[in-house]
Amino acid sequence: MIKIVIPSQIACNYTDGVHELNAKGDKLDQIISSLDEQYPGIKNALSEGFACALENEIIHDWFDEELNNVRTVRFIPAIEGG
Amino acid sequence: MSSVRTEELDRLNQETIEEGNRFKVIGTRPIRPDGIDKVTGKANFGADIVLNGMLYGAIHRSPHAHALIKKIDISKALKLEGVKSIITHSDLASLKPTDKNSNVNFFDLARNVLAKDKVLYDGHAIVAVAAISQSIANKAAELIEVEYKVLKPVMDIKTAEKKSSPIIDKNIFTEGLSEPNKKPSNTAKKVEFLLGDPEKTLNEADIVLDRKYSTQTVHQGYIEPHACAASYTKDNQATIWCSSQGAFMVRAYTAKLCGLETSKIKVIPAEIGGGFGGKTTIYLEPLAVKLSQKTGRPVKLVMNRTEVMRATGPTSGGTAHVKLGTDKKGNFIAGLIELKYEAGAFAGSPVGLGCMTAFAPYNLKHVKCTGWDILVNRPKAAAYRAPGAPVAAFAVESAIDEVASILQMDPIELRLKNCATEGTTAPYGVTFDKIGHKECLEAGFKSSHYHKKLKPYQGRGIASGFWFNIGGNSSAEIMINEDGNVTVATGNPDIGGSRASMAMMAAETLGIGMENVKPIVADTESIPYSDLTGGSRVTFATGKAVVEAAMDLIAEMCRRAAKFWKVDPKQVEWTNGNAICIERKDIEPMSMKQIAKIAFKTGGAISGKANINVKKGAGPGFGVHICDVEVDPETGRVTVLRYTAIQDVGKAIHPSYVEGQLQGGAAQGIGWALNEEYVYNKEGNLMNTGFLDYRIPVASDLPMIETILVEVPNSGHPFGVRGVGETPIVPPLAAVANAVSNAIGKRMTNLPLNPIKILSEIG
Amino acid sequence: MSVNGDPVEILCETQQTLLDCLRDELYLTGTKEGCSTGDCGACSVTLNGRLVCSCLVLGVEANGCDIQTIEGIGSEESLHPLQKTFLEEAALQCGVCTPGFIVAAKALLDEKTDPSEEEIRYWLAGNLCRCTGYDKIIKAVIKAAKIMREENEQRTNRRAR
Repeated sequence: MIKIVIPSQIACNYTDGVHELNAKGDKLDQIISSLDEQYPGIKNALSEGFACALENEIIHDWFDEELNNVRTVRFIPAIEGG
Repeated sequence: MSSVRTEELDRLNQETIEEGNRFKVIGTRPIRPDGIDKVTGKANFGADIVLNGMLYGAIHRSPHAHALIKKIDISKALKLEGVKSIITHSDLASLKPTDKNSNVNFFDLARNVLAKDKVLYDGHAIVAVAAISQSIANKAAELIEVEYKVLKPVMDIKTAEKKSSPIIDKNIFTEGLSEPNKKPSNTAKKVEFLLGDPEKTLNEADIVLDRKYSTQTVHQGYIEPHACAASYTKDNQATIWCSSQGAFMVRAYTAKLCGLETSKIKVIPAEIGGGFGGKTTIYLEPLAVKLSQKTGRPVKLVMNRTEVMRATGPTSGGTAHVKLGTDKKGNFIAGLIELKYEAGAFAGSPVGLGCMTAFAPYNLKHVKCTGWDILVNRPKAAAYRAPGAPVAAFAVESAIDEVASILQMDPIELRLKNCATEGTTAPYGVTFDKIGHKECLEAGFKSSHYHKKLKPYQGRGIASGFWFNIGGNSSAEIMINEDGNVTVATGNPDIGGSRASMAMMAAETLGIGMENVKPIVADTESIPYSDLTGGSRVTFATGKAVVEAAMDLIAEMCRRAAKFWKVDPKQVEWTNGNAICIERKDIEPMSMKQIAKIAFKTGGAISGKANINVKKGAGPGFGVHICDVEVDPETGRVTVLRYTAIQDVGKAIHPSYVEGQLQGGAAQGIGWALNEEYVYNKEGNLMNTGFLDYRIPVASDLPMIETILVEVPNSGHPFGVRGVGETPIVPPLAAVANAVSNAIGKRMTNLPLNPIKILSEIG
Repeated sequence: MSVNGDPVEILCETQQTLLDCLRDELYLTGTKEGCSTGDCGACSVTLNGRLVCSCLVLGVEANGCDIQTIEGIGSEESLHPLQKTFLEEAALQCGVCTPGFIVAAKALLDEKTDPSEEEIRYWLAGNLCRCTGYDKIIKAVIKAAKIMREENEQRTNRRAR
């Protein structure tokens, strides 16, 4: 099981305020698609303006990242720079 | 302030870097390739472009901070001889609030470049004019008459939060609340980051430091005002010449606001005279395109300094409430921070990034960071170097300084005890690889600066800073010219010497000299898409693209040599700038000059390219700054006596320009801490719209800024590069404030620390 | 008037500044506009040998005067020592303030061959740079002053011989 932590504005709109979700899968897009079945629209919402923290990296434009050895996926605001 | 001492230190630093250098070009300090143009005045910046038949534009701006537009009368201006066209918001593409992508809300952007129905800050653009001369355009802009219904301005966070205050944008309903807001609000968003159980753990702490801080709105202060020229032709194609931090950004945003397909616009990047994040968005380009479309002639629009101050930038002022709990030995147990940032008149302050960076330099198991994005009648906040991080770091690093004095502990020692290292999980969810915070603290502790004795009314402050660093989309192409020299093209405007570092990385990879490489910044039709120059990503990500393009080029050159030699390509290797046939000693190696000569015989012109999205490996940046100040007890004036900026830079490609980033960021942070602030009157008019009274540091305000480059190589980059541009502005606010607080024995929590504030403290 | 030694004649509107005339009428765009209020020094030129902000001088006031701009200081083939040391010391990042700094620093070194760091800092306090924190600019000026003194010495020695 992989723990998926989502930002509060997504939680309010899609998961009745639940911040931590669980899903199974080997690839990032696969587990987010499975969440989308449970919470319709969440995949698109997480694709707009959110990066995700995967263990030691922040991934922008997330897609089919491998989730071997990943325990937690945390969605965070996209990092802008100056 | 003696220069001798600084030079000696510099030399030491230079030697330690350059001694251990296993590279030929990287780590040396060659003259930058675009340098001669810049010291002789030949370089063309945004305002320098001149086109045949060009018209000049001017903008009519709001004198009110908050008002409904009842009527716009352009008749007088239109009658003025020489006026060719006048546009308002309705000339732009009609957009909906849902027209947004992950980076930008185009509905807001369009309402920012030309106000729709309502003006939201002093200086908000309303009408744009094109005329045959600048003076006629200016006069026409003055002749525009706008009828307003003036509303009460909402100028600060406190007022914005009051239930009785006017609502700036009726479409804003606070996002991120557990109970959704049913009424519109000036609070656009709540964000929260939670690790462990900080509230419970805080109760177990021996020491709890509970303190509130505030900072003011500040501007990026680039010396070159925004400028562009646009030419719209009958075949519905537009060309834009402008200075920006990203030609592809200008193209995408302008296309959206003008209702054009992206590919119909070509953006030619001019030299950019500073940006610091402030040129990661657009203001003038869609207006120039629309005016050109209407008149059939090229149109140039240039802001003056007053317009820059009133209507561009700035970065958010904000408040921070920190609770830091430690045990008796100084181990950090729990940290909480609540940040409120001004967004300006449209949602989107960098408060989320403030939350994510606040405690990132430290190993804390229990953290809560809450952020509020709050609308006020000030210009729409734009990115400014490490957006969001400096205000949060000011609060947290000030709190740590106070904890150190409570514990009677050395402030560096306290930080060393708690600093994040490899394996620490940051509050935003990433577990760090090898990072250099500890190394920077140790370098600070070892520096001669840190142990110099201070006199009365002098104080020393130290502070750490963190920035994520990012990768992103970058494209590079390397072409061999007929003479064997190469041209390196990238899509990233060169804001601080990146052409030098691109050329150096290409030369190193190819095994040739810098003098054989010409780096250029290509326009949007000459190179594939590249993300902005910003976020400390160019030397890292675009550098990586250049290295990959060079590898691609090498592979092709080896194939050509093999073809010419009639050997198996597997037998050809690239060594020290030559193709070598490994099996056959009788074949003479072939240099790039020789390969250029056989290019046409063996299949045509030769180039290498890489179009990549660098998703991983940016390698976070950490810095530690040490600041000594002296406070004049009679006038309250603060003089910075000595300043040292220490940073983990991964690997410095061109150490001089890396030092320059540290020195420049430190100077901006010193200005933020001591002088700079937007001053508004009661009606919401900006009172300090020029450099005379919005005072950025000048040469006589500063000492030499010493730098110590710590090099903990980043495994995510072929040469170990980490981004370096953002981090240096994060520590100075607290470093200066801690120094001042220690000098006068009073904790200073509200920036800027101008003489009035200091005098009121020391009475 | 004379610009960088060349006789030039232009027509300008009465409200046009010397800066406007140089940039818009003569296309000498090396002189930059950062503020138009005399605060940033990007438009520094010399007028009859005196350092001025060209945004604070009207075009008509320059009638008959001798103007020196960045375009008149050194050339690609033979750079002025200041231009050379600005490059060697990496005293520029974006480079928009650089012409003003070089013109202003040259005016200082023409007057004073061995200024102290403090004198340089105060002389250049009217020139704003947002990129460098001034450190490398000051070092470049110190180094250029030294080169110019040595060149002068050599010239004097040659003449003595």
